[in-house]
Formats: sequence, C-alpha cells, structure tokens
Amino acid sequence: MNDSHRETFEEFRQSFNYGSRTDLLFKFLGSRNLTDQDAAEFFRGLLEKLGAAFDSREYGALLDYVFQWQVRTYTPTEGAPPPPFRYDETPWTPLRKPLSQSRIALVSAAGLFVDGEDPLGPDGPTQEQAVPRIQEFLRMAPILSTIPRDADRRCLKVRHPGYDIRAALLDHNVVFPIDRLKELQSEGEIGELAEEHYSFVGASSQKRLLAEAAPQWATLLKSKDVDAILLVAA
Amino acid sequence: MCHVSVGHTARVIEGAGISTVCIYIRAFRHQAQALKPPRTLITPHLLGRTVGSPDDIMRQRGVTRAALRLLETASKPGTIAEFAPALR
Repeated sequence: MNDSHRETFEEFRQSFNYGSRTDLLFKFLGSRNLTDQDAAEFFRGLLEKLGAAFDSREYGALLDYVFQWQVRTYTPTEGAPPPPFRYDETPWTPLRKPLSQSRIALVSAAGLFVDGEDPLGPDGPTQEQAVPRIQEFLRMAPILSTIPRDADRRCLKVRHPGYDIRAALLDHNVVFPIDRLKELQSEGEIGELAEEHYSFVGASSQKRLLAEAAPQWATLLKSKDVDAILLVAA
Repeated sequence: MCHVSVGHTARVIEGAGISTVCIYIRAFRHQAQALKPPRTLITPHLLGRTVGSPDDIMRQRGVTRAALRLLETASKPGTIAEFAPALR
C-alpha cells in the first residue's frame, strides 16, 4: 500500500481475513455475506457491549454478541449457491452395545500433534507461518497424528491455518476433549477409552480426504477394535 | 473447511462399520444439513471453542456427554441435535 492510498472501510474489514490484520476469530468480517454497513454496525455494537462489560465486569453479553455475528455471517443467505458437498443419503452403523460397554476413540480436526512428532516434519511451520499458507493446506491430503491417551498435556501442540487456536493453546479440551472423556470413563458412562486418539488439520483437500486419507483411517480404526468415534470440528 | 472434513470423515468411517458422532458449532449448522453426517451435536460456541471455553470443565463435560449419548439415542441417519444451554 503506498502512502497516497487511503484505506477504505471495506479494505479495513477484509484485512482481518488473511490480510494485514489477520485474526481468525474475526475473519468473518471479510465475508461477502456482510456489507460495509453490517460491519460498521458490528463494530458499533461491539464497542457498546465492551463499554458495558467494563462497568458490569460481566463479559457474557460480549461473547454472545460475537457468537451471534459469527452465526449470522457464516450462515448462507437466502438464494446463496448451495454448499459444494451435499448428500441425500447417510451411512448408518448402529452402536453394537451400550455406551457403558463401548470402546471410544476421539478424532479432532483441530490440528493437534505430540511435540517432536510434527506431521509436516521436524521443520514444519509455526502457527504464524502456517496461516498465510492456508491455500497450500487446502490442496494437501490431511495427515493423521496419533495422540496417546495418556500423553502429557504439556506435550500437545496445535497448528491449524483455518481457526483461532488461542483457546486450544490454553486448554486443548476445547477442541480435543480427552480429559472429559477420561472423566466419563471413570464415571462409568463409557466402557473404555482407546489407547490412541487422533487429530488432523481439517483445512485440507476434500477430494484427497475422501479418496486417500479417510478410507485409510477407517481401516486403522477398525484394526483398533473401537466401537464408536467422537469427531470434533474446529 | 474443518466442518466439511469432519462430516466427510464421519461418513467414511460409519460406512466402514464404526458408529460416529460429530460435534459442530452453530455457525456451520448448514454444513451438517448438507453433509448429513450420521449423528451431529450442534453447540452454541465460537469458532475454535467447539466443546466449550477453556477450563469450563462442566460445560465441556456436558457437551461431550450429550454427543456420546446421541450414539445411543439417535434413531435415524442424519440426526442433528442442539446442545441447548445458552452460551453464558
């Protein structure tokens, strides 16, 4: 941008979406579903809620406000083109035994891996390096990382170019609820937790996921004798 | 794209004979409707906080439990259930 260029409001809001001000929690500001007037109203309301939160010391309304705008912005508008992947039928495998006797494994699309086992190799990118490479990720086949049930939480890394990982860095359970599953197992709600759980980067080639990766993962999981899989999107 | 990947993965794994349940956030409910994973729980949470806020153990446990229970209670393919408690 040269000195003579005055940034427009549209450029400003779009800069949060893989631009000069990238913030994946607020990338929706760059959505085509928003007009400049919509985005201006978002900022006005945000400041209003922020001011109220300073006084009340309650930030729930602020959180709810951002949530509502996220939902509004990502939800297709009436008359929008249909999503590229749509199906009429659904595969169906009923659970063979009660949950309290079932063996469960977790698969998260949130991009977790164990320190020292970077799926992109020892020189794999940092989060900051990965984000601008989102288009590369979207062309790649996803790679499944194995996370042992009892892995030390301090050894878990997160890298994903498509979502804001700040919460996952604080507590991986927000997208990989392994500790909650352990509690449910100890309370007898589920029979057993598998010894191995899994994660991959959901921002990946759907063609390659369907043709290459997912069928291999299904074979792997069959070999582990799990009865059911909990999948978490991020 | 994460929600699309999860839907596709669930469909493939379920097709291979293992029961699956997915957790999605509300902003991508339309993807669950289009992809029709076998069973989906929708949470009223922000992107990147699908199961709940950091260290909100009770809520995370409630979401995880509600998702797992769908494995027993969902009676038809493509079931979509909402995790009802509000965000706060």
